[in-house]
Amino acid sequence: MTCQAGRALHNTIIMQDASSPEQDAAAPAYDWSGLWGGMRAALSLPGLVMSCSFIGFGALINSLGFPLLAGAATVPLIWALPGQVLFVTMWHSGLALLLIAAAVSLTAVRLLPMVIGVLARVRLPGAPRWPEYLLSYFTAVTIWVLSVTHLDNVPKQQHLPWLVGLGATLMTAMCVVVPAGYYMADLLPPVLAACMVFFTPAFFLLSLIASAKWRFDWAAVAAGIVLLPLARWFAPDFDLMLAGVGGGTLAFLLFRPRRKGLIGKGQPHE
Amino acid sequence: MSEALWIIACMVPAGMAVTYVWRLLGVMAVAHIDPESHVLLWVRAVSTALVAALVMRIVIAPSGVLADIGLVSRLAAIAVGIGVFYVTRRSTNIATFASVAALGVLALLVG
Repeated sequence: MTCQAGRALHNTIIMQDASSPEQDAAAPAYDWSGLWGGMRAALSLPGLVMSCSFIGFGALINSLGFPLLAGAATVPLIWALPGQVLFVTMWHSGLALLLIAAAVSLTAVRLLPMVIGVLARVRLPGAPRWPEYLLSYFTAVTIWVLSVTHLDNVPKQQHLPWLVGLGATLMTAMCVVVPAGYYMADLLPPVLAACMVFFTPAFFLLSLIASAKWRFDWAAVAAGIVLLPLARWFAPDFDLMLAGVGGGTLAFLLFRPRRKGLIGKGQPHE
Repeated sequence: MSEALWIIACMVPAGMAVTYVWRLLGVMAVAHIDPESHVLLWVRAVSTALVAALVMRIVIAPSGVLADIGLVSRLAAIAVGIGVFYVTRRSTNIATFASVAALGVLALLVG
């Protein structure tokens, strides 16, 4: 109780006196006024690219004959476009639920290092941990990219709230964008509809290249690209597993970094 | 409608739970794990290769409207995106739009 009161008082002090964040060192707390900045950033160019990807996703579920409501539900339930695309395409192919779950989960494994990378950058050690769980709910490729590129001018106590505001706004917006894409797919000329679908692979591949820092990152991108056609020819049902797990493992074994200092951009941890 | 609800009911275990478990593990791990451990690097490599493979699958074996555009145009559009990415000093946004625009132009010219 006293602790909560103290924290509230502390927040008030930070709000009123944002110019001296150093005094925060004793009892770290997040400054939730950062929410607004993140919400505004959602309307920037990355938000636009994301919207196009999700319009493409809406067009994709339309072309598969997948029900709109279920397609839109993938936004708050999965919130990672590779997993969403996999779920609807594999469901469309009539594959066993267990196989779908395994494949979706495999693409979601990358969220683990992503969440760790984002949190290592924005969390305040010693502060309550529930905001970290909240942020992890919204964490996916776009949040990760923006946490690397957009936080330099945001005070440290506002980092996590800023990303939560960004993620919540994007998720809400995409729930509307998916139905828009679904209905636009019928109205658009086929070439334009195809272009919308193409936003997704283009954005994914370029994000991978943009976030690749290490030789094994590059090797993993190349291995995934080169091995997929081979794996498709070899075992069409397991092409993603073979190319992903096989290619990633190969890239890691061949190009494993000798020295340490990686995921938090070399940031000291704790 | 009932089909949609059935899919959503399947999505909770087969889509949501299997996705969010990794996010939860990430939050639990960040306070304890060595962010430079080799296990995490392997995870990162596999997840990167997996998404690259997913991109490749959408490009070489698309379903729906994208399948009406030729394979050469699809591959060339990806190449344009990568080229523009480096020309624009690594702008993911501009390169993404350029790649999509290239696909549209190639689809009209080449098919």
